[in-house]
Amino acid sequence: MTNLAYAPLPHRFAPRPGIELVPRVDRRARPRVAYAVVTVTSVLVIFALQLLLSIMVSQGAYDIDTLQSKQKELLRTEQALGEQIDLYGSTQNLAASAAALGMVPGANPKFLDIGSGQVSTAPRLLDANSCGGSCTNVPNALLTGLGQPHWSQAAAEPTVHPESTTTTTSGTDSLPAPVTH
Amino acid sequence: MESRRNRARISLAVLTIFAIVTVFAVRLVDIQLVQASELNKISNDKLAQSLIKYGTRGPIIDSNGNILASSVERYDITVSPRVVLGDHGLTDKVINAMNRIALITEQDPATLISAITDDPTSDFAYLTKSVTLDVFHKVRDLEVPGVFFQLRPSRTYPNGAIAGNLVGFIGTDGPQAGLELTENECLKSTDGSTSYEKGEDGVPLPGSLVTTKEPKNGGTLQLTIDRDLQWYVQKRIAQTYKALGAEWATAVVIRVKDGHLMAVADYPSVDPNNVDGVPNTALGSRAFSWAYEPGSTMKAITAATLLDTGAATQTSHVVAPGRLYLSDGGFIKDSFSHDDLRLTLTGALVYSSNTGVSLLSKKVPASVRRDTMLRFGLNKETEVGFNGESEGDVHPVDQWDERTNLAVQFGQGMTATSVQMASAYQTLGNGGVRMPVTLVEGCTWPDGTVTDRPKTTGTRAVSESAAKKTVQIMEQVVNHGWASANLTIPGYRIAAKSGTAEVAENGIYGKKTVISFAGVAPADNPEYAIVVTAGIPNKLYSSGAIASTFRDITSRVLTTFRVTPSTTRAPELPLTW
Repeated sequence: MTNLAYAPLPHRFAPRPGIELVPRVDRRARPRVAYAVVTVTSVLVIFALQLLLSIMVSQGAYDIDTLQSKQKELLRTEQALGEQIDLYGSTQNLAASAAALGMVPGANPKFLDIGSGQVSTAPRLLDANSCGGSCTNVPNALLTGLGQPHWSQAAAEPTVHPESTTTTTSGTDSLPAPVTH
Repeated sequence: MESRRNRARISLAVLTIFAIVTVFAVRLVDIQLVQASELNKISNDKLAQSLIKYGTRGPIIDSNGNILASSVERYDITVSPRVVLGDHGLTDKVINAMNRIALITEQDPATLISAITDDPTSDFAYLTKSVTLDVFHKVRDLEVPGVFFQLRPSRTYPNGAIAGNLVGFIGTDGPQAGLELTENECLKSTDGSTSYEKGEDGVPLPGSLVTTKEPKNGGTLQLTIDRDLQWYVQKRIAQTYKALGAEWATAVVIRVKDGHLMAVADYPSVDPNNVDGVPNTALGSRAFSWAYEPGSTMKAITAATLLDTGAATQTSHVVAPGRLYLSDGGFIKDSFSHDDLRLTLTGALVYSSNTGVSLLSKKVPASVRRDTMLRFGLNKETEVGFNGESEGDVHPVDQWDERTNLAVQFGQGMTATSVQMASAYQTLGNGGVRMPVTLVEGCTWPDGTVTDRPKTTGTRAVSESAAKKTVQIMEQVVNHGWASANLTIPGYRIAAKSGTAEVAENGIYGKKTVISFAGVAPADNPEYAIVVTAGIPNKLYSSGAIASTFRDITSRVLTTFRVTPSTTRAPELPLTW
């Protein structure tokens, strides 16, 4: 038994594909000029843009550099001024300036009697050591050479005198605490 | 035939191209991979500019935020002698330029000239160091070629000698003394670094800035000290020092409720801006580092011990002889000669009777008395741990001889620092609870976190009633003692005790003394404890000489902190019987 009976038909019985004439391609046909122009222009534009961008970035770098050094300078100035403020605000400078104005520190707590309107304190020199704030016992080397405030030249000599007292108190018997009504 | 030759030609071309590409590829691999790091380094060295980014050392501020120490920028002016001298040497133009710089920096022009002529081929020499911004600007504007500037981070102390004893200072090798040294962990900064590639004109190339390490700023160290009070206290003890011809003077103000130090003054003491202005012994804080025999200010501790153990009351009787003889024939005597005095415990303190206090102390075992002293904070460093702090000495009981056994109760034969005494009086003022002595309120880091917070747990030294009764006894000293006129402050009740301690030299007590006053105010509700001490005065030897110093400082403390005046009268306690 053979299955030859089912074998496909030989090729020679197959229909032939149709053959057509292909038009001839002209190998020497030139590409259109427009394409070239577009391409070259694009490349040029891209180059130009890149150049511009690069210039802008560089310019930015210079700007940043300038601004940064300006910022640095300003920060330095701010710091130097802050340093001066601290110095002018130092206790020694304030005390010396106050003394130059003729001010002397009070020594004793004082009490205002609201009932009588009188101020009471103990009799004592305002400043037993009569130097006010002008003593240089607590020195500050930074203040030498610091410009003195403009009013100091005109200020009067500090005067020290016994404080006038309205109430004389001794330690235990009387506490001049304010009497409120 | 024709096509064969063509094929050969094409093959040759391809081979040549391939060979060339291979050569390039090998070279590329060589440059990009094999030699890459070496070449990068060479290129970096030519182009890259590296910079130190300075961190800022943290400031030290007082309790109100006033700056005691801060970091500032100073500038070193440097020069390249090679560039300045060039081919023409020291021309008039160079000399002229140096003269103009010298005028601004206030230097001798000859110094500058020699700086550039010492080594004419060198590329680096200092013209001057640490000038201010002002000077830097002026010199820069001269535009002298070959003159350069370097940043030099520096330290300034705008308040000068105020708290200079505590703050310390920074030398060329870093922190040298005080808190600048011991709190360096908080204050110190770490420098960072950054690099960029520079163009021909020195401008950083865009995108080339690389920060390799961020700088780290230091923390802000806040002290418990009040600047203006500290100034007054320093000024006042300086006056005392001069008036007495003393060798040293200290004063300590401590807040009773929490043991915070409001002022710690020493004289002489250093202005950190001018460290050379004082002798080496004055560079630290004597109040912390100098333990001395405190003398009769210790009698308050003795009274508290007696009251705490129940060995005595405020009115316990004692017959105080002028001299109390010891078994070796020696004796303990009082500062004034007298016959037998019939004193109460209160009276023994008011008249500062060594013999009376000694006799009363005998009722309490030595070990109990010593333990009480230790609970008051003696014989060990305070919690501050100040640079060079002394522990003082209260020897173990088995080392006490007959005399020491009694003498320690009036402050001889033992030593303590001013700060320790202030802490002991803080304990008395605080109802017998000793608070940790605190100088630093905290360290605030740049990110806002706060460390070094003070300890807040106290320890009980004596009972509340013993402490309060002791304060009442000290009030009698102020109101009825011999220095009363120089101690009272109208409006306030004050409690204090004097001390005139003899100073031993080579084991022998001579004429030299340490005089002091210690106390609390206001006595009815103590808020501050104050200790004032002067060492080795050459004019007046008695504690009376500094009673007014104690009063003035106390008065200033009460007004500075707006303490409410006393509204009740002092109790009256019998002194004799």
